[in-house]
Amino acid sequence: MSTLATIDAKAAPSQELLQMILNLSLEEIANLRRLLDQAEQLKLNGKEGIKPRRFIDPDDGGPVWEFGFIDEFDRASCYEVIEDDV
Amino acid sequence: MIPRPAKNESVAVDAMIWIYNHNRESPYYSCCRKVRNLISGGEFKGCIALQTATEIVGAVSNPRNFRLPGGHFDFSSALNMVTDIFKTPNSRLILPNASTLSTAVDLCRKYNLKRKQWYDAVLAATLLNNGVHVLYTMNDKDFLPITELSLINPFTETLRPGSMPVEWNLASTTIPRQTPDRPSSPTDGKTS
Repeated sequence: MSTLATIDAKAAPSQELLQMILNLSLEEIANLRRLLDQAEQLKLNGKEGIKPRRFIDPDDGGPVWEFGFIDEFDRASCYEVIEDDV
Repeated sequence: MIPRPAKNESVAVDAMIWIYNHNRESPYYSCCRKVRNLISGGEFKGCIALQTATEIVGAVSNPRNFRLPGGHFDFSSALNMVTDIFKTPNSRLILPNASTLSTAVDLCRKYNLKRKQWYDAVLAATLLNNGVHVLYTMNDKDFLPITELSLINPFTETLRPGSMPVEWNLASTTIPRQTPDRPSSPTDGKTS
C-alpha cells in the first residue's frame, strides 16, 4: 500500500486523483475501498440518523417530511448496507 | 400538464417520486406532489411495487444520499415514511410472482441490459406480471429500452408510449407519434 501514501485526496483534482488510483493494482484498489469505507464508518460513528419533522400539508391533507435529501444518486445505492452502528 | 392515463388504469410510481413528493425541500417536490395528488384524487389507480418500498427505506436511511453528514433517517423514521406512503389513498401494493424472475431475465436478454440495469428489469418485470403498463419515474432514461412500458416523467411532463395497450386521459395527454422502438426525445431529468 506504499503507493497510497502518494495520494493526497484534498490537493489533487478529481481527474488527477482518478489517474493515480488507476495506477494501483486491483488488490490495492480493493484495499483502498475498504479503507475509505472504514473511514466513512468512523466518521459516521454515533450518527444513527435523524427523526425528520413530519407535518400535514393543509392544502392536500397528505404527509410532508423535512429533510436534506440529495437529488442525484443511483438506484443501486438503495440496496447498500451501511454499517452505521460501528 | 403531466400526462396521465384514464381512471381505470393502474399506474406504478417509482421510489424517487414517492420520496420527492414527501420532501418539501426537493426541487422536484411540486411536480412529484402532483402525481401523488392525482392518485389520491382518483384520477387513476396508484401502485407501489414491493421493491419500490424497499428502495424508499434504503434511500432515505443511507447516509451517502444526504447533503449533510448524519442527515439520513434513523431506521424507525424510514419505516414510518414508507408506512405513510402505503397509506396514500387509491393506491395498492403489487408483488413479484412466480414469473417475475424469468420475466426479468427475459427482459435483460431481449434488450441486452447491463448488470447495473438489473434492478430496473426486476421492477419492470413486477409491473408487467401485475398487468401494470405505465410507470411514473424521474429516471425514464433508465427504462427506455423496455418498450413494453409507457413512461411518464412528471418533471419534464413527457410521455414515452409503450407497446402494451393503455387507455389515456385525452383531455390532459397528448400521445407522441413515435413508435415504441423509436423513443421520444431524451429527458433532462437530473436523477440517475
